[in-house]
Amino acid sequence: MEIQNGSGQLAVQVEGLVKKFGEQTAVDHVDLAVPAGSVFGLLGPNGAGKTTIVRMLSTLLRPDGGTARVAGLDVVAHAQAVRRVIGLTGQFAAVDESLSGYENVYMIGRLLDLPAKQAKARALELLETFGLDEDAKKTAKQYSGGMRRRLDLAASLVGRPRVLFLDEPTTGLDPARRNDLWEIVRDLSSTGTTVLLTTQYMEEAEALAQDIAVMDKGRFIARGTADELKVKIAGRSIRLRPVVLADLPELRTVLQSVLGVVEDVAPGTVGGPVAEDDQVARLLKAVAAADIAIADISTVTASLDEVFLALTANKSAGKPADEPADEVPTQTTKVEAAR
Amino acid sequence: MTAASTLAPANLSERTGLRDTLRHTGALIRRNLLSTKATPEELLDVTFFPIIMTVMFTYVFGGGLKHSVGGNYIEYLIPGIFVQMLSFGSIGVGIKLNSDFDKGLMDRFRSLPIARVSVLTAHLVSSVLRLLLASLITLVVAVLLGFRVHTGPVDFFGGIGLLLALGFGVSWLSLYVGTVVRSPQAVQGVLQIALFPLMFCSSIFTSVGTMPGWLQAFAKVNPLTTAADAARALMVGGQFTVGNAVWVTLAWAVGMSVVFAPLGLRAYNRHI
Repeated sequence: MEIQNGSGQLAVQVEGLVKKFGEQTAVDHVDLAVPAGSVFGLLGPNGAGKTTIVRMLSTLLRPDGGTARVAGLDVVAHAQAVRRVIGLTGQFAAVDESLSGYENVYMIGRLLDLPAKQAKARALELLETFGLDEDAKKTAKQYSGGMRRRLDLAASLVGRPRVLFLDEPTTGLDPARRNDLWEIVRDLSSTGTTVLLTTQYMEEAEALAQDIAVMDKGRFIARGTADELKVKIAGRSIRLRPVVLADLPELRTVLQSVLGVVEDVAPGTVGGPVAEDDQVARLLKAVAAADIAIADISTVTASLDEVFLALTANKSAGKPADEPADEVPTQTTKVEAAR
Repeated sequence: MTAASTLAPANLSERTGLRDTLRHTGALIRRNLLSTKATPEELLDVTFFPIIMTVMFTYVFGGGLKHSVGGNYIEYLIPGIFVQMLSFGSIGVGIKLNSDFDKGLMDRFRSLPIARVSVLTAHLVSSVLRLLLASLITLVVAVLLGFRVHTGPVDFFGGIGLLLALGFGVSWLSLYVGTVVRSPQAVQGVLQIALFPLMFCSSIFTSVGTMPGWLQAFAKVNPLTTAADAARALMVGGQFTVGNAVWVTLAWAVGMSVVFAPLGLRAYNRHI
């Protein structure tokens, strides 16, 4: 049976997804489309609703509204079929601590209906891939945090999932271990696995994900590529410095006509915001036409951290007065911690 | 690794076949056994605890208690120790199930294409295996301390079977509690608070006849009293007559399963 159901090459397709816990709406009418083979980043602070989305997509939670399809399969109507094509690595390494690394992965193979021999071969293969082969016989209790994460990831890959959910996969890992995990995600992506990961770290989303959705209080407040988000929210700007200072007034006129705005950004340097993609080319043409010699030219893009702060700050500014006022400082701290 | 980027046909079946479920349950029982092997201290409650109780009651309180129970205290005590061990030994299974939820392992199992219930059945089977092992250890210690079975093998093993059935019922209670309370420690707390009064206000250690009237009323309907009486009749015989204790105990065993299995399954299936 063909299961594309008109979703084309979308590995994850979500429409109007809602989840409520009592009075609180954890996920509030979220739409999402993740192309097969891509890495999608769900970025947001604690309590934004990222984990709730992952739990619904991985069939652990039933949505209260909307639809969600994974590999074209409805997560409610075809939950078991969804489970056959997904892998899940949660926030806390879900390994049996009293079992050895090998036994943990072997057990998953058996639960996925691999014959004993194949389950064994697959376990050994994965343990080697994740650099755990030497510690395969140690109980997981003796593993370090990073080793447990890798073991957890190995366990979620036994069934060669087409869609992999990683819920804050690097929280609590030191930078070296985090880079290892990033490499693993890139490798998986290069072999065609679709990855949906949640993270609190802009840097991580930027490093791994082609598409990013920024989440706050159950809603997506922005989405796009890392570059798009930077431009869309915090803006991109261009700066020019003429060779001859006398050209400055004319250069200012050119900028004004192309960009609509002109600022003195430094002595002898003018600049302006780039809102449309073709503005840079048009500006350079106009500068050439005016025959102004340029000594230095640079474009400046906001960091994702700034984007994130801008987004959550805007949201805080526009919200009702009964919300806690300490929202922005809290998130600032989080962003700092993420660096 | 060759993960498909195109979406291939999938198995759309929502049901897991019986053979698959049995194999999954087997893999999970293996997990429980390996876990016990790696942490044998998990067996203390069904090994050393009954031994300590036996030795303590025989030598510390036995001298004082024996006159109320017809002279031979160890003959009186051992069937009761079996009851105590098979009920308290069932606390462990609820703790295990609760830890699976607590540590996120249940999320992993639930994201796999297996029947959800296989995790529960595997725990239940492991619990019965634990109780069987505990029965064997208790019997060996009892014989070393001078206990002798005076009935035939049919009666004796019938008695063990009856108590295992009761342990099965208590295991369901334990699984239910393990699903509804919030931490493994709470499972232990709740079940011990429930079982300790039942254990002491029963005929396990001494004759109900020595208790004040109001307590006798409770002790006589206490399932652990009927279970101990039934076990005595089936393991020792003689002055301990069967009466209807066997049937009442069986009714308790079946009743507990009938009540707590649906409750446990319901809570388990609703657990997030």
